[in-house]
Amino acid sequence: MGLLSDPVRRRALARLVLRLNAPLCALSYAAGVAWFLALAFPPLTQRTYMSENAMGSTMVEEQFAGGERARGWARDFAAHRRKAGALPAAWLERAMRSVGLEVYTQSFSRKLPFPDEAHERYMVSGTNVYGILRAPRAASTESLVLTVPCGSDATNSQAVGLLLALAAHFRGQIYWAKDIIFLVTEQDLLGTEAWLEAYHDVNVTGMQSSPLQGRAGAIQAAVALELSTDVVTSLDVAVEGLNGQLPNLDLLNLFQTFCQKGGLLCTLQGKLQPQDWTSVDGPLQGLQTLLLMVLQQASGRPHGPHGLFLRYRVEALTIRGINSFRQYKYDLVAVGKALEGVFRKLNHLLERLHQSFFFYLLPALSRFVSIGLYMPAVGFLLLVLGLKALELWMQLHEAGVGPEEAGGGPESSPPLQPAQSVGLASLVAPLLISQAMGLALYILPVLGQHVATQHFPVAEAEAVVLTLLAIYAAGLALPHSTQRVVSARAPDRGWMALKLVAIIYLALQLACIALTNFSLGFLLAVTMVPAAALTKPYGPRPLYATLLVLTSPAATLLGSLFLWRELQEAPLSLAEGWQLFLVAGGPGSPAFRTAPPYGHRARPGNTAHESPRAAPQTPRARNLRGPRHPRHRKMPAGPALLPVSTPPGSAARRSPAPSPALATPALGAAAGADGSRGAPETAKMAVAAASLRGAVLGPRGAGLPGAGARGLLCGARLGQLPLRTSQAVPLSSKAGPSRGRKVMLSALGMLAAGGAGLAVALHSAVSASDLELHPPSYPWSHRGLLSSLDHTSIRRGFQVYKQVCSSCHSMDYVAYRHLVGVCYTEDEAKALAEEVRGLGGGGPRDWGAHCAGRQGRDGALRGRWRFRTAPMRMERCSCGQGSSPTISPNHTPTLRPPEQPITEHCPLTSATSLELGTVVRTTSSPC
Amino acid sequence: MAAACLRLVWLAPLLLGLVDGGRAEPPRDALREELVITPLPSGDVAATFQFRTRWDSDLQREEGLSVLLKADRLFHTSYHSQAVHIRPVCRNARCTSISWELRQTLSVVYDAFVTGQGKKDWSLFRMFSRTLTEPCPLASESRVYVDVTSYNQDNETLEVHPTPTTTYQDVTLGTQKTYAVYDLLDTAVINNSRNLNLQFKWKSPPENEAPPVPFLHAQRYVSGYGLQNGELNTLLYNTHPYRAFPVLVLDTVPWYLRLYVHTLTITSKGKENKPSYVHYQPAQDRLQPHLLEMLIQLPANSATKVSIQFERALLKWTEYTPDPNHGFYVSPSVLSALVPSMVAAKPVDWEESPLFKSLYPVSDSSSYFVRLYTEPLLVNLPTPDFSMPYNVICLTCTVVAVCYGSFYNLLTRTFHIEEPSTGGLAKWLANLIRRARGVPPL
Repeated sequence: MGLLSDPVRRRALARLVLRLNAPLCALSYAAGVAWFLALAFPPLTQRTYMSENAMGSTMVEEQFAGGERARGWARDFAAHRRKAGALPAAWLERAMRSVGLEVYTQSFSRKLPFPDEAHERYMVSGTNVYGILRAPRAASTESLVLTVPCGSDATNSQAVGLLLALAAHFRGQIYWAKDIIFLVTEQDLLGTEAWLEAYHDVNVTGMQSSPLQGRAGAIQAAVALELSTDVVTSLDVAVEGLNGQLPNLDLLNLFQTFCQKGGLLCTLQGKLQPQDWTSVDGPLQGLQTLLLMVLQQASGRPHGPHGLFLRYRVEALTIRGINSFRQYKYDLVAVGKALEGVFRKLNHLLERLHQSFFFYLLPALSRFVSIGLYMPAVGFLLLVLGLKALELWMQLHEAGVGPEEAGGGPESSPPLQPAQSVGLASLVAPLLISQAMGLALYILPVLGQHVATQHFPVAEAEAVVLTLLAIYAAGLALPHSTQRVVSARAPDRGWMALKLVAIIYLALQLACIALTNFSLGFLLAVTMVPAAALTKPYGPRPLYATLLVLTSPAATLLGSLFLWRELQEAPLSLAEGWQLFLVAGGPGSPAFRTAPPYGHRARPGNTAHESPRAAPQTPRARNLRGPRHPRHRKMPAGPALLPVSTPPGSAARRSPAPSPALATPALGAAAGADGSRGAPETAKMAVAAASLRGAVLGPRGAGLPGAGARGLLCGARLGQLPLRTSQAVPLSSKAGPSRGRKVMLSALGMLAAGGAGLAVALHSAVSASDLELHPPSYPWSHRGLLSSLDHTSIRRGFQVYKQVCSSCHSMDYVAYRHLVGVCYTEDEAKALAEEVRGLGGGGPRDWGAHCAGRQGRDGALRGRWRFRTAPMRMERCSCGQGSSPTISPNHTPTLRPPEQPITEHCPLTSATSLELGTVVRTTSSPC
Repeated sequence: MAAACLRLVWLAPLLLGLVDGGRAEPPRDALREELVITPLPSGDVAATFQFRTRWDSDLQREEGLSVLLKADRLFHTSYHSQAVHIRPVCRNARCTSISWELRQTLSVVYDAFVTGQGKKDWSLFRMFSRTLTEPCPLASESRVYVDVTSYNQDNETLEVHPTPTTTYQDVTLGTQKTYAVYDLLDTAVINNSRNLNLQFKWKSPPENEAPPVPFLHAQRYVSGYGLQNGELNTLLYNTHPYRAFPVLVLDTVPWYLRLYVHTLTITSKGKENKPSYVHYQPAQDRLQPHLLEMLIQLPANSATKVSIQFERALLKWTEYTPDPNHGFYVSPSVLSALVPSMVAAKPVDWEESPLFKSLYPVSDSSSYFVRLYTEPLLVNLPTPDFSMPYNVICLTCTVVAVCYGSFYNLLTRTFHIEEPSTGGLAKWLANLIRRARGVPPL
């Protein structure tokens, strides 16, 4: 046996892998892309369903009727806003106080890294106003947030009006169990981020803000509202948050159910959901929505102010009112009712939203693709890299076996040297240098900006560009450092080892990215994998160069832009596309104020690109390279250009076409491994950077493998791998080779069959999991054939019933005589019955007689169990309500009608029940 | 008052058996009842009922202040608390015999905003949906006190109806307070229309005035994000304009928040504030919580921030509550302080002064004692996903591990044919037998 340790078989296997490698790679790549495109089709998309029990139904009677008030407030707000030129904080404060909220303000300021193109200002400052509605009889441990971001213009005033009207309505209700925070932020996302940071008392973006005076515990969920018209035709829901983080699917489901209930039209990515999923048209339409979501998620940019909440583990979504040319329009009351329903349901939540999916893709509002179904797409793509790495590894190690097997291709004609000739040490230098370059690209532009503007007559934006240019120029020296890798004796071995390491590294990084932000990982994999797999130091160099350029992330970005606008049915012309690309990629452009003012270019630091860089060092290629071809040299580093930055302000969010700027693949920055501290440039840039340390999964607790994994990778020995070791431990003394093969085949068959069966079983188990409630299994003492009831525990149980349960549940159909011989003697049972009679017996104040309407029995043992204590009966009397259902065994639980109507017949007033600690129970019961 | 009376009945079997002297002598003071209404700074209205009695005969009436106790109104409040105090009191100066005093207290805070339709005005009818009709005939004292401190200062803003005939001056919590007193036993108060509906109106809406804050108040919150670390922060406010005073802060923190005591920082006005006394008892896992006690001097007119970092521990999976994603509660800090008074208090004669004096802690002439509890906190611990998929993942990982092991063995292990062993007693014996049977040997 020993499929891999047997030299003959191994050679055969190696030959197979080497020969079939190219078709396998192509097949795998095609499978990955096809799988992704198939995601929008019904077997892979499923209908969404509510997992959280507390929000299962929409049984809420919405009573919001403040449409007129909302419009009035909206008008006032818009007028004050125009007059003040900024958020009218004082007016807002007064308005919130007038509806009875506890009002606080927070002022913040932030120095922008670049002057704003329109206003030439460095310092952005603003004031957030928020009011807290305190839930009665609660300790302010949990809260919900309704937030409205206000930009520089007078948009969103209807949202402010609706917020105030909802606050006024909510204030009059008594059912709140969680505090509700009504938050109006200035400067759009900047204000939201400032408030969130102050609320959680952290400072990740260098924001200067006044501390918050009022808090309301842990925020459980948040809804952001954007409305600019009095009537809407549809509501658009945005879920994508910072770094592609998504809220729990249940929140979306909740909103969708209330939209359905109110008959509101809801869209996702601006697209209506297809009605017919059986034909091809529906899924194709879903595919468009899915692609839009993927592009949006890959940009890493929050699709609305809700996106900033997700980092703090606050499930949130943004609702935008759309007013199009449709005929049916809804007024603010309809929107308010949907929001009221959502908030009342969120108010019911006992736990944080956790039951449903956190990783999903949405082809429509009511359809989703879960993580288990979309991950194979990227898995297939990464398999290409795996196969390629295997091929390289085999070429490196099988080469020494014999000249006839040295490599599958005719190119590598000279026999390769033994493996020891490529030492690990020679690979360290290029790896370190490329890592350092990624780190430099991440850190230096920021540092350089400060230094350069102080000492040289350059602008901020220019300083960044110049620093970047300097780094790239320094990167030109990289090929010299790879000289040692390519030794004179075995040139092929050198680049193979380097490419092997680079490919494995690329695969690992892409897998990590895909896990946290599938869209980004997938887009990068689709474009980078072919280039990484194909490049070699020989062959048609212009072709490779073109391929590299075309599949570089910069080209991906450009392509994504065109695809984005195409899907949005607003196709770009070439010139417009280029403009947008500059905006998304460069540090600001005069054409669009929405430009990210800081062209933060984080380089992926991707060692995959070292292979093309190292490749030219082969003797054949060396003469091609040189200072005459700067472009060539730059492009290997060029793919690294990944514009990540998100604008600090607000405007970009409102831009007509938010450019799907690809967030950094985080590799270069990962080298920094200091994402949480770094990049104090813009609010969201640091946020993007923090993704590296797991902010994408952040609150979920997972982190990306940091420097440790990388060190491990770089330190991995290439020489002796475990696969080489043959373990000559005999399993069986009698097994010949033929038998061994049989054993192996049968074992393989069993494993495969078992695995398949297990997969099927697990699949059904997962599907059934959250819908079924299994009865608990207890180790009853009387289960066995020879065992009987445990009488002491019966006695204990009776005690528990008597002291605890009996206050709410009667057992009127069980008599005391049933206890005799079971857990009490006859005398004891009699005493018990007497005791209860004594409590309620005799005189005009016989509570039992009054409330239960039943006289105590004379014969003690015939009497039924009656342990209800007087105060409980009194409570029932005073409430005029029925009692809790009885739990007697031979009687189905019924709610008995109120026996004694109102207080007059009761000898006690309600005050007694107040005194005796039964108050809370009374409130919780419907009386 | 019937409620009080019936409560006596309820407690009678319990108490009378214990008391010797109580039954022998007639009670001196049968029943005192009292209602204190205080507008709160936040705009809410607090109402406190007190009934005090010595043991007496059977009393069953539904009159006096207890008519206001209507359940459905009482439960639509922002807050309520109730208490029963039973204590022995001396019957004479030499304390040769004692009698038992029962005191019942019910405090409710009404949301004046909701009941007053957006205004701060209130009346008895709005709050309780009842009005007072007559005093409890058995009560020796039946009074309503209304805090009208601001009314006296500025007659323009407030209107109290009916106009109080008498007022009562007192020092509570270090400030001078004025109460309007309505004695229900005084026939003039109720006699007019056989009902008394106290009303309290603001003439000009006090919009922009900052609500007065108490000298000592506090706020507590958890800062940070993520499920690994966090920080417990307590903000202590001393709003006294010129006096500093010490506060004893007592924190009990559950063991699953692992406090880093070296990160304990106390800052007042931007400077470090060194506590004069720190007692820390570290937690033991699953046995005892952290106990942190500090005596901190709060400078005048300042906010002091006490913060300490913690790490969230991983619990064993059986230790999670049935609703682990709700979070875990951290109990409030307890602040105890002697807050300096603005006005010197007189020594109190308990028999003569109104009952509500006992609600406020004893104070000497220069300061009064305050104990505050901050809000409880809700902290999320790293919680596994206790759902079926989680179990499935665990199971799958196990299966994969097992499969991987066997595959690895299959792929890397080589099998050799073992040479048959030459010797062995059993074989020798078997061959002997075989030879005897004429069968070829092994």
